[in-house]
Amino acid sequence: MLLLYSREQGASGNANDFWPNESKMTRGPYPILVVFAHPHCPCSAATIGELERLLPYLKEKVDIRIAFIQPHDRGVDWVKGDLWSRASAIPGVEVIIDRDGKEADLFDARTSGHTYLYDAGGKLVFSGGITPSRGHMGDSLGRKTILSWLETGVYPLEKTKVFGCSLRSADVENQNRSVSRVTQ
Amino acid sequence: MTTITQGATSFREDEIFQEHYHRLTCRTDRMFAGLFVFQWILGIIFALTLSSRTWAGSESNVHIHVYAAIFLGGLVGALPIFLILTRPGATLNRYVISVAQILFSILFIHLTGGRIETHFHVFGSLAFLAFYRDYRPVVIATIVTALDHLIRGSFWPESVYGVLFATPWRAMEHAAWVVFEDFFLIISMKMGRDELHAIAHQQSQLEVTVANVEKEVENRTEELRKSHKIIVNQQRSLISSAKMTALGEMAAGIAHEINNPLAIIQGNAGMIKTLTSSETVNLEMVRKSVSTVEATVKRIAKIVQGLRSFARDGSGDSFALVSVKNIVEETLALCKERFRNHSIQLEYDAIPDVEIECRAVQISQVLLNLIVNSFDAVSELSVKWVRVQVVDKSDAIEIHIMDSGPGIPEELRDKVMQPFFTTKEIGKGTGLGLSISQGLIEAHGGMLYLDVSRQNTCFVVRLLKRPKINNNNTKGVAA
Repeated sequence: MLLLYSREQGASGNANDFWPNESKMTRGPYPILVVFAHPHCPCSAATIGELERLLPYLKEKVDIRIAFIQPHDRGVDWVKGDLWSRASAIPGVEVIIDRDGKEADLFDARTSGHTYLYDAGGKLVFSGGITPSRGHMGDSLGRKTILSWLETGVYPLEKTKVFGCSLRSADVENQNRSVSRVTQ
Repeated sequence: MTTITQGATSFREDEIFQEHYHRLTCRTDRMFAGLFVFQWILGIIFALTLSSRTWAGSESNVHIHVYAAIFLGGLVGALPIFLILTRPGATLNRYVISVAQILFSILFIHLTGGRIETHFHVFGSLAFLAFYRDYRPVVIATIVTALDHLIRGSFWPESVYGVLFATPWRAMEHAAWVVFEDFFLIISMKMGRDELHAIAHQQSQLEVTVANVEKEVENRTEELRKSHKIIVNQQRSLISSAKMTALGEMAAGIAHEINNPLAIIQGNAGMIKTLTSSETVNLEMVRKSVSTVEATVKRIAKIVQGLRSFARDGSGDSFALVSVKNIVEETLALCKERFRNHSIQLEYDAIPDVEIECRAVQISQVLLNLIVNSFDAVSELSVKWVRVQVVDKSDAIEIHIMDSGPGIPEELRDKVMQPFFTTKEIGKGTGLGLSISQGLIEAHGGMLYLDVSRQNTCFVVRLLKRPKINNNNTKGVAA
């Protein structure tokens, strides 16, 4: 039961092929890695841990951002919990608050821990999770893909499973799904 | 002496080993019971602190880890705890415990997000299982660990090894490290069992030695018991001999004591014959002579009664309430004539009419012995008297036998009570009289001592009126 739960992936959404121009996040002339995280998702501690492990390979090559979702009905203090503190302590990582999850909506990130890697030109290289399962650290396809791209410029996969809590409340998620169906 | 066979020793050694081992397993079972409760609580704490809730935006629910820690952890710990409580020390317990302990390791690893540090719980568990000094639980735990790695590693390697692709050799590598620990644990357990065997061997040997010593002591005690019985019999013979010696010394006086009344009886009988031969019988004179005969017969009867009482072995008598006056008077009756014949004044005051609990024959024997001693001591003196005085001391009575002698020299005072010590000429005294008398009085819970505060020789017999004496215990001591 626990194993099945551990392997239960979250919603992935449809990542943009290019950096969304509507994003308020600034992007420099370097590749950029963005992680969307829920401030209280226990599984995302593993994502932060994996990011720490990737840091030596990413340092001075890739800009790193971690965007913590702040639902409209929650204050800033709610966001700045243990996970925020841990992320803020990682050198060279910019931690931001994503009010009402607007940035997450632009990237169509739905699950905490969803990581996006764009090259210097703003082209999507990778989208997905960087942990092997819910709350578990360790080698994963996401990590392997990022490292492969960094070393060779080649990436075996563009997308991996994301393990974590939902970034949106159930009603917001349902609403977005309805809108998505109508648009289609 | 019975010898304990090698087979019996070996059996006992095995028995002791099993006893010790059972205690050890019960103790280890209890430790694991405590550990399971602790681990269950720890798992809940892990779940509550690390992943208490699962989130969706601003909404949250209790995380499945919390339920797993409470119910799965509780389930894993419940069976071994149940077995420990119902069948402490049973072999099955440690097998179930070993499996449950590794399941706790797996649960902890999961609850802590697969932290590599939590894997050390497996190694700690193996060390803890080694407390049983039985390799089987450790082997079972190792097999469960290896199977977990092999099965999970085959289908989901990253959950075990943190890598995406792992060959079965990876499982073997992990298992090898566990086996590495097992190797040292098994050596340690074997040493532990060997120590237990050594202790059992030593204890069984000690028990054999103790049993042999006890047997030896028993044999010696039996020999001593037989010797003691012989000594008691000899002592009884000696006492009887001493008693008869004292009686013998009085015999001449006693014969005279009886002869005198017999002469009176004979005289009166002659008188009655003469009176009844005449034509006019003076009935008044006849009655007077008959009364004299009756009184004289009673006097003889009293002397004979005293002799019979004295000569009888009273060691088997129970303690009984007896008049002190009767004892003293019957004893004096045996002596009076002898004292009179030797012109020794035998004085005694009015004897208080009190009763004491005693063996009358033995008290009489002591008094006669003391009186005879006084008689011997003063018979050659110019001033010759022996005084008997009975003093009522509330809860006790004191019988003082004092004579006109100058007292016992200081250097002899400590010796007079010793057996075979006598100042009498050879053949006259046994030297046992005072020591036997002292033994008899002490058997009554009383005291026989020389009163050195007096100018003359004075022995005191002090007897409690109601001594706390067990009749059964005094039979062997008293003669």
